[in-house]
Amino acid sequence: MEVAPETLDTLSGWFAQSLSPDAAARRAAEQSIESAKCSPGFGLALLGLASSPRHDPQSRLAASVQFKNLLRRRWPKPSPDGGGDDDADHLPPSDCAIIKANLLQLLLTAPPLIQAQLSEALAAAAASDFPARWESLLPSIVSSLGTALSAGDIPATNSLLAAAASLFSRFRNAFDSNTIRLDLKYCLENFAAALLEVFLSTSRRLQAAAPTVTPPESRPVFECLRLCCEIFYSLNSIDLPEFFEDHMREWMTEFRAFLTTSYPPAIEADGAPDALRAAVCDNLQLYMEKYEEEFRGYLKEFVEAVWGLLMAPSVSPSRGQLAVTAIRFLTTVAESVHHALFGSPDAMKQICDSVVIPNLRLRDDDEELFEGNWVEYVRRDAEGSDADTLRRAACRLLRGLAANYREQVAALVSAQVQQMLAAYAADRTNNWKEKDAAIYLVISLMQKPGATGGGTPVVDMESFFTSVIVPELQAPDWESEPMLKATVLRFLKEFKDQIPKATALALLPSVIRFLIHESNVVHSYAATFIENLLIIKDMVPVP
Amino acid sequence: MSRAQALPDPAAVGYPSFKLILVGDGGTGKTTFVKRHITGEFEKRYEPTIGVEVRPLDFHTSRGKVRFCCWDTAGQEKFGGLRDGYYIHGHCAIIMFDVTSRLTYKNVPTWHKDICRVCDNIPIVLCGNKVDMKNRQVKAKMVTFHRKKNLQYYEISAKSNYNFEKPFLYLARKLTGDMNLRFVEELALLPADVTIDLIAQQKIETEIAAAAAMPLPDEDEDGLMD
Repeated sequence: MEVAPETLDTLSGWFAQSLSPDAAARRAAEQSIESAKCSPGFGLALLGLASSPRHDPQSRLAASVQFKNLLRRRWPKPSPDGGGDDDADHLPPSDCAIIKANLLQLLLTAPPLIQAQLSEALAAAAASDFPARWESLLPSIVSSLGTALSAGDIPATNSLLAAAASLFSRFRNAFDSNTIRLDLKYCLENFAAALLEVFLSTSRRLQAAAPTVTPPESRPVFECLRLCCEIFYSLNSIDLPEFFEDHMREWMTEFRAFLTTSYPPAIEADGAPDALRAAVCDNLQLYMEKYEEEFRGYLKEFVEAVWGLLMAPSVSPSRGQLAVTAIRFLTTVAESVHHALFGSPDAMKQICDSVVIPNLRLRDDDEELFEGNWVEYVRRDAEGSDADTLRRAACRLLRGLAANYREQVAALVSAQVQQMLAAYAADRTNNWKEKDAAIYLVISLMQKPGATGGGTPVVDMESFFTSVIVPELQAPDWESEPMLKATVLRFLKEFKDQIPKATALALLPSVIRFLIHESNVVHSYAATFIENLLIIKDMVPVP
Repeated sequence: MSRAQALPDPAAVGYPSFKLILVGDGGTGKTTFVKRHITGEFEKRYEPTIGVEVRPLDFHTSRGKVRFCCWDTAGQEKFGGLRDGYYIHGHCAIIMFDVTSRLTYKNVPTWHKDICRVCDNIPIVLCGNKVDMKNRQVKAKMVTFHRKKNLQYYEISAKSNYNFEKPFLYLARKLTGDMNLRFVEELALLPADVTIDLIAQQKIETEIAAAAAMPLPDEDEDGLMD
């Protein structure tokens, strides 16, 4: 694929000008580019510039962006009426053939941001041509993977895996059909074995190297394994393919190793191990939800592994996000026929003490949200099951357990609540978050999920109300610890049906003080309570 | 995130200048939004932006003057020009949707993906515009995308200036690395075209506290993984 150097230079100049804040220069460049679009070979020129090491990075990136846009708009798509006017705007078949012959190789050698564009361009072309009209693509990827693997070239391996991941993403959320299954069969036949080989080889490399490498060295290795997990997810999304069922032990052995291995602190702090673990947990979730019968033999060891992961202290910046994913997996198991894995008193106590409670406490992020974006805080507070926050995920796990072990969960949580309140009583200034967590627990466990469902009774509501909630409302220091005050007010809203109107009215003077509270959240909750109070009627006893 | 390298601006203002990319579907109010900042321009009739318009917006902060070079892009496909080619070297972004149009929110993931593909790891604000309108279609509690992607979200009303400064303040803090940065002068904004009912808006935002609990949608809104 050859393009005249002068053409590339001219194009490069136009793109540089197209990024100028000066409107006249920018518009002139845009017009030049627009005119050139109609010229034969424009697509090839863009690809040539994007791949040209001697041109400046911004022009190359601009060329790769326009190349991707060109393919999205002008790559020939099979049309029922066989073309016609559309053909005039399509890229010429000869250009398409050259692009298909060269794109993968150019993508492999491109810098990261250009690579991202070329990857998307490849996906755009593949959307209509792969696999039937681009039969060389997958074999090329597999062949190049073999070469990269032999050479120990992890970055190249990762580029190839990322390309494959974009090809296979079509199987996620796909409507099942003969067409999609035939495509899947083709992909499995050509790629599944190579994927396993890359996965096992890279995992062995990780295990051999882990004690001594530095984060920049280990990050691509973790990324490689994470990409393998992403592709695994795509290829298993529609059904459990025979290849993966046959090799389940190999995959699951490595998955478990990633969850149970502690890597050196510097590597953990990099965050790459947790990104891999999150991808593993997504795969476990998929298997638990869709292939429970085949997966059950591994379930116990994975529950223990995920559980152990959650209990381990971590320096990873993305541990919070991983914890949400991991807790979701445990919740799915707790709500399934396999709930007995959590059934023993020791197991349940460990879950409660080591997984749930530590994730309940307010974090710096929450305080920042409360201060800086109060609308979002209110919104999050109001939605009963925001799956993306640690607090909510932890409470969902408790509710999941309570579905089968109501009394045991109630007893454990009750003990925790008392413990938190005792810590608060011992040192109110430094331990107000303990009280906040206690009230949060009570709200989450005791609120009724639906019209008929019962909550889990963890405290005597009346005595909790009079000994924990009312004193906070009436406290002289009503302007301090705004987050705690907001949680107390939220308690009133959540359980307004259980508070007799006379009792609520008696609290009105205390709540009115909060209307002038400096915190938006606090005065909004106070206003909501008063509004509810004014419209609510006492429950009429059913005869 | 470390402090962003400011633009090598030919105009060479003597203070930090950041390229801000403004994207979102056509008609969501992007141009109206940037024109609130006093530039002497005033427009009531909707005219689609063609390609991109670059407008410098200056703010006075507790750390001195800061400029956002706003690249206000076309939202309509047919006027797109170089499309995401304009994002190159962007320091920060705003994605705008219209709360009276569900489709504009539905397209937010696509805008986000395009930005992230061109600009590596920049701070992004999601804005739900036109909250002054009564026929709201995207309820506040339906907006969940920002939580999954760690974006900031603000409800705004460009025509009433409601929350105008919030996206810029957030981005200025992120780009300077100073979370205590404040705007120190009253912003010079055009008079409001409409008066937002602040009490009603406050009620809408607080109403979430009384709303029935709703789980986050489980389906993957992004399609492709990152």
